[in-house]
This record gives sequence, C-alpha cells and structure tokens, in this order.
Amino acid sequence: MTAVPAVPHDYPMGALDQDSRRPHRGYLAAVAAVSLCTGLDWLLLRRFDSSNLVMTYLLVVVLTAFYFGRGPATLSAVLGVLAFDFFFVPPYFTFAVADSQYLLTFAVMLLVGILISNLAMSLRRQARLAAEARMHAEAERLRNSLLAAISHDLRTPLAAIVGASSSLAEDHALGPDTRRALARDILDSSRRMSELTDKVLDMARLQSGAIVLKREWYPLEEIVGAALAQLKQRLRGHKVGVELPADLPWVSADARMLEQVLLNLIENAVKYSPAGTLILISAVRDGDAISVEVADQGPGLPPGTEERVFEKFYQVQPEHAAAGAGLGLAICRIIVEAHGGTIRAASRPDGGASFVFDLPLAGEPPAIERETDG
Amino acid sequence: MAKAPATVLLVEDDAPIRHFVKTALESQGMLVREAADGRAALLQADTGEVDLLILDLGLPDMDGVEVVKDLRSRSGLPVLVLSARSQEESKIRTLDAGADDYLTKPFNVGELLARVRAALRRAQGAADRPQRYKSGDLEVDLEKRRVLVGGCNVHLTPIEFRLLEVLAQSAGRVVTHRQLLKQVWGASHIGDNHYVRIYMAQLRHKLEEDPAQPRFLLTEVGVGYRLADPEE
Repeated sequence: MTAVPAVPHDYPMGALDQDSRRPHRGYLAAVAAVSLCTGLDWLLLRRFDSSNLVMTYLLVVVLTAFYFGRGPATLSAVLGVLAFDFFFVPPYFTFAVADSQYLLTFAVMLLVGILISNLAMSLRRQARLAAEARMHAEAERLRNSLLAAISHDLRTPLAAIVGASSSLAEDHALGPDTRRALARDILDSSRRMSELTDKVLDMARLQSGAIVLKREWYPLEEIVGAALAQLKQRLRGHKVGVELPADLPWVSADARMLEQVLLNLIENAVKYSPAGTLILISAVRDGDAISVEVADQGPGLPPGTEERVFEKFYQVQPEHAAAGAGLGLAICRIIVEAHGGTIRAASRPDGGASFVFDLPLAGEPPAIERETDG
Repeated sequence: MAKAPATVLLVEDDAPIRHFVKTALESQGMLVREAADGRAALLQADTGEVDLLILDLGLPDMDGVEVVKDLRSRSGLPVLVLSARSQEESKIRTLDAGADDYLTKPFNVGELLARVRAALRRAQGAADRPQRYKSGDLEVDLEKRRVLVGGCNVHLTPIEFRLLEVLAQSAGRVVTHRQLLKQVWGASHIGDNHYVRIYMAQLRHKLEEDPAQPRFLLTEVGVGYRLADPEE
C-alpha cells in the first residue's frame, strides 16, 4: 500500500519535514557545514580581520537553522565558536584565549546563533500553520461547493421523482402505458441521483486526507472489461471498440480507482456523443508508461476548455439534459495523479473528444510458478 | 415436478427496501419471513424452515460477518448480502466467511431475482453437483472435462480447467480471490491475487470472442470473478 499525501503543491515540504524524519542528518550537516566554513576561512580569508570571520560562522548558523531546525543550529553555533577559537584566535591551535575581549565575541556569537535558530524555528512553525490554515480553508470551500452541488443537482431529479410518483400514487385514472412511462421516469431520475451521490461521496473521500492506493498488478484488459460490463445498459445505443496490444505490460494500480477513471470517461463519452457512434478505448505503451485513450465521435470540446474540464464543478454545458455535478473528470485527475500519471483532454482532428491518461510503468509483476502443460 | 415454494428470510431494517424485496419475491411465488436483527435471524434460520437468508450488512445488533460465521458453523443455508457502497471491506469479509453473493444498494428487481435464483440453485445442487455448464456458445462438461466453444473443442491446461470448474460450480455467483486461490492453488497461495489474474486472462483469451468485453468470465473488481448465469 502506498500513501500519497494530499497536500497542495506549494506546501514547503522539504524545509518542514526533513529534520523530523531524519534527525541525525541535520546534526551531520551542521558538523559538515562548520568544517567547510573553517576550511574556506583558513584557505581564503586568513588575512582578514577575525571579526569578519565571525560573520561567516553566523551565516552557517542561519543556514543550518533554516534547513534543519533548532538542534543542528545550536550545534553549529557551539562548533563555530570552538573552531573560531581554535583556528583564528591567538594563540592558534589551542582553545586558550590570550586576549580576553574574545570571550565577549564568543558569548555574542553563541547568543546570536541560538537566537537566530529560535527565530528560524518560529518562522517554520508559522509557515506550517499557514499551510494548515490553507488546507482547512480549501476543505471548507470544497464542503460548501459539495453542498451546493447536492442541493442543486439532486433536487432536479428529486423533483421528477416526487412528481411522477405522486401521480402514480394518487391519480387512479391513469392507463397502464402512462403508469409504466412514469415508473420509467422515476427509475431514470433515481439512477441519476444515485450517480451524483456516488460522485459527491467519491470526491469527498478523495479530498478528505491521504489517498491510500491498494496497488496490485493487473492486465488493463481486465479493468477495461469490468468497466464496460458495468456500463452495459448505458452503452446499448453506442458501438464500442477496444484496441489493446497483446503485449501490453501489466499495470500496478488500485483497480477500483482505475476502474472509476474508466467508468467516468466512458460515461462522459456516452452522454456527449450521439447514439450509433463509436466509443473507442485503446492503449499503447509509450516509453516508461502506458497511455490509455477514451475517444468518442461527439461534438468534441469547445476550444479553450481542455484544461478547465478537469476543474471541480466545471460543466461544458450546464443545461445539457445529462449534465452531472461536474465532478467526474476532477475525480479522474485526482486518481491518475495519485498513481503518478497525467490526464489531458483534446478534440480529435476528425471530430470528437479524446481523453488520454498515462500510467507510469514501475517494476515487474511478481513471477509465478508456471505449470507445465502436457 | 412441482417444487415447494422457497422460503426466504429477510433481515433488513429499512421498511421501504423490505417492502420492495418482499413484493418482488412474493410475485415469484416465494414465501417471505422477516427478522429485525442478527440474533432473531439466526434463531429463525435454525428452525430449518428457511431456504435462503437475505442479510443487510447494517444490522443493529451484530456484525454481518459474525452472523454468517455463526450460521456456517452449523448449516449451508444460502446467504445473500445487501450492502451499501461504503461497506466494501465488510462485504468481502462476509463473502470470504461463506456468504453466497451480494447486492450493492441501490439494486433493481432484475438483479435481485437473478442473485436469489443463483443462490437457491447452489443449495439445490449441493447434493448433486452440477455436471454441465452452458451459456451462449460456451459449454463445459465437468465430468468428461471437456470445454466447447461454438461446438469446437478447446484445450485447457489443468489449472485453467480447475479454475473454470470452480467458477462453473458456482455459476452465476461471485467467487472471491481468496476462495479461488484456496480451491485452485491451495491455502498457501492466499493473497497471491496475480495468480488468478494470469490464469483468468489465459482463459478469457481461449474462451471469449473479445477478452476485453467478456460475456462469460466476468470480473468484479476488488471482489473476485463470476461466471455468467447459465441457461436453465
């Protein structure tokens, strides 16, 4: 199982987590930085006034504090004082101090070093809090948009259900054909509601924290087949083509999620292309990735919307009879990116929309004991 | 031969769903009994007057898995599980514990009746295991170990045949990865799901016209496989 942290990209991961994950690395870096600084000072700046050399050590403390936090910074302050004393304060190569005014230099250097490291620490804490606040604000915005989607997009089919079912329950003069038609309307509207709630729940789940992928090895053929089987009824009016090379490598993926991506893309193709046209699902190996395409023969995407269609709640045609919540493609993007891939949309030169996603190939499926077939 | 009507025990706490399931089953000539929770269900199941248990996983008093385990320690009564989309994990555990099949809410009446028929068939066939499977142009003769597609013999390896045999004995019902691994490769291979996938892919290429749009060997992603309903 792989956990992918659902963290905005601008979150300064490197500066925040390094010391907490590998504490010893910060201390090693502090020792290395002080040694390097001493070496450079010795080679280049020996003739400078020693008060200038103190500045180079303070620079090391600042950098250590920024990258590795308080502990390593304090260590580099102490080491800096010792190295400065040993190499650059007469008598040289001993910790003895001839001129007592250097004791003041040491004290100030140490104090400034520790102060700087504390300041850097609190800056880092503020950055962390700001990032958390941003995530909370983002979650809040999402909750509000989800509520808006639920109230608007669920109310439309709900109104149809209330209307049709009240007719069935109360109007006893209806003929059997009318009754059957009303029942069908109720069924269609409920399917639409069910689909919408699934999408809203999927999105809420994907955005609620780290996405946990249950990766296993699959032949793409199996997942495509499962998705097509689920959509069998909906695909009745369309032609379906599948083109998968026989030597297509297996993919390591969370099958449920990958199936969800295919379901959403194929559903879209069904919704936005006329009955009788072809929906083509194909895949090719493309270097270190598998590239999967779902293409239809509908009107294609309006120019300029190729990126926007992946935004949450974006709808190309909000008034389209089959318009959903505008979540399907956003869900696809989150899932594909959690797998380390990318997804993009385009209009095909010969008309129709095309959605392509890449899944990186990493490693090999585990070997099995082959049977010998007589 | 006129069969006695099947008696179905329905454990579901939502009244409208209970009503719709009951109506659908009664319209097929079945008798429906109801129980409010797991304990009541187990008591009624023990009377021996029930042919099938339909069990909602959201029971008020006990975990559905426990009900199935308890039941399986004493009887082979077919169990059909009703689950919500959020109950994936417990659904699979219930199937591994011995439940026959599942339906995810919302489901329609056609799906319900197909699952009920498959589960009842399993119970009737338990004494005399089905020796043949036929659906469309696929025919499997389990006794003679012969597989025909469109009347032509298809050669299967021993493992491929064993896999098909296990699925055919459960025709129309889902078989979990765990159950397939255990029955075909042995308990030591449980967890090696890619074994099943490799052989299912081989079987599809031998038996299906288009392996990416299978008609017989159906995948239930994350759960297992189902051999399509046989022709009665």
